[in-house]
Amino acid sequence: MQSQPVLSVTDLVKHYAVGRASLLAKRLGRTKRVLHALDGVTFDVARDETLGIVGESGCGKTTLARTMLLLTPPTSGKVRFREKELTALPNDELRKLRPKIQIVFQDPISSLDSRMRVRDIVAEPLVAADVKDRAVIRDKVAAILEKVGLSQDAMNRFPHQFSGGQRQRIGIARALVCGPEFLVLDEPTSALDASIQAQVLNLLRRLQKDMRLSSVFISHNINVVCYMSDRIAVMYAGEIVEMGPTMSMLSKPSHPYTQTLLASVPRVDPSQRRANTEITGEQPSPVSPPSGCRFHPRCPYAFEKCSQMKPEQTVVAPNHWAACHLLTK
Amino acid sequence: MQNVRLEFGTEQGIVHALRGVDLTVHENEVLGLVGESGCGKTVLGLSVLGLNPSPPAKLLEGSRILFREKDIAKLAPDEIALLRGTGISMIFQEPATSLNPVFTIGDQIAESIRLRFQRSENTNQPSSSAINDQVHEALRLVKIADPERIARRYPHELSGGMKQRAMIAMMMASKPSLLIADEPTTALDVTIQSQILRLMRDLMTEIKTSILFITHDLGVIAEIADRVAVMYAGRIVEEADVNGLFKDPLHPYTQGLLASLPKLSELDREIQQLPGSVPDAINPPGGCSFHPRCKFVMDRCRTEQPELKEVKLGHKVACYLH
Repeated sequence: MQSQPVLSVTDLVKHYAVGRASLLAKRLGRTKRVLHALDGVTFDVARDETLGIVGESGCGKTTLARTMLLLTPPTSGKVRFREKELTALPNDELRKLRPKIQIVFQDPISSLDSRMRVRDIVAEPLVAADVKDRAVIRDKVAAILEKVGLSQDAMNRFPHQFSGGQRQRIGIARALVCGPEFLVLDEPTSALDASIQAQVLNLLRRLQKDMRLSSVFISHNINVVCYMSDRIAVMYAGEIVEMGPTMSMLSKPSHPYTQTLLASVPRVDPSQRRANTEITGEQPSPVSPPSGCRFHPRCPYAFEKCSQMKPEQTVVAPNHWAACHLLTK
Repeated sequence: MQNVRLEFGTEQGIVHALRGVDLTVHENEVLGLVGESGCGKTVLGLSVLGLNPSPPAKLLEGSRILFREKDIAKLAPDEIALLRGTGISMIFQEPATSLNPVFTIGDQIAESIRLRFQRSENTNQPSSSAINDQVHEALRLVKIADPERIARRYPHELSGGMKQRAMIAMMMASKPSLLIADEPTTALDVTIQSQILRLMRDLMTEIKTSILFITHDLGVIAEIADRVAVMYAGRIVEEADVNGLFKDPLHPYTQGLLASLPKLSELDREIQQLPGSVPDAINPPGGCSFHPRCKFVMDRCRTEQPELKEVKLGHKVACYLH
């Protein structure tokens, strides 16, 4: 990337301890079992850029969203926002930066407090950022509601009086009210119907352009991610296995998992029914991820090295790399 | 289904869930039923098996649901019960909640096999070892590599994809002539979804079952269906064979729905959006219920309801444009 990245994530790791080690295991010096939600994720997001993150459930997408914003503390790794290293900041400093980095959540029902009016929900980030002037707050809320396509009488209503698509607009308004520079969108449309999803996606595209937002767009839906993103990272079992510009990823998917993922997407065209793109098995347990390349138990091309060594990132096109032993074979 | 109308009485008023549905599933075909949430597609699926809780559900006079020669709408509850799991089976969206957590997978499949025998005229019950063999056979049929081991597992020990396979095994063990699949792959990841879709296709040819495949996902429909019915606000608005529908959608709603999906081949083009949202089922708009969102709306659309008419060979649409 030519320009200075707005946000950069370096070697981010999040492990959770699960269960309790048995007495015997303790005697043998083994500690608790560890769930590897994220294992060494690294990427940059440039100004005005949208990085899409795609992967199946349980691959660590949402954990990534939460840890990169330090909503849950990472086990190790660094997150930089502009010149500041977020992971090294004390809490009160971090809090001052929060208005600049915001998030839109997946579920527009549970992410909005059902007992708060829309104007209070949307104003909350301003209040949290110590904006005291009520008139300023009111004006900002009114302006942002208009921007996301909600009428002014929405202000005094409660979340349950809105449809799913409108609720997601409220969530977007809340994320944008402070004028953030960086936005994480965690599956913002996966709870919505197709026709409503299209409305929200187009709204987000417009807002990204108008407000010069840099963002990370997370989804399991490849079509949606491609539509929204300049670059795409594919995650599998807590790791990024391939990353590159959207067009390059589509024309030259280089990791077998990316290929499988693309081939598994139903085409909205019955004349293109797939004859033979079969993948077997399921995602590995994050408690005991496979050795070497984590995709090797499902990979049709796996060979000896794949189970023994972690593959390195190999450049396959400009700004496009994949981590697969086939590429260096 | 002929002119099926179904209402729910609620405190807020009467919900008109199905408002005159005509639909035919032929032998050995997959009929895809597609629509957005709240359009009535799940209620339609449930009504075939008389599974809508009544009250509040009420099937209106004149509704006919014919299965072979029998009118299900007229059958007594215990007669419908006889059809369930023998003539008609159902798979639900969420495999985790449709399996009983306190029985093993094997027990649950065995139950469906036993029921099939009880309900057939055949009086000699098979021995439990014979049933066991059939359980393993059913699991093998859904491509579970190690049926003996999986049969002893409880649902929580299996992944989502495996649970849905087990559900399918259970349904297939009863060898239904019609399978109603309500969003069977929606809760699954795409790679698993593609496995399950392929499996359902294979099984269908193997045991000659027709499938009513209910989903909101046009991509899934394009993959699996032979014919498609598009549902909007409790009515079928378009029905065609799958190629005809995707190549030449006639109803403005179908067109809008197709245009609203981001496609990998046209990423630089802005996706079209349908304005507005799905209408309220208590007070559906008069005339054609799509008219408030339709860009081709004419005066007539506001007052009269268009009938589903065949406008091309095998392609029906309910719209005054055609």
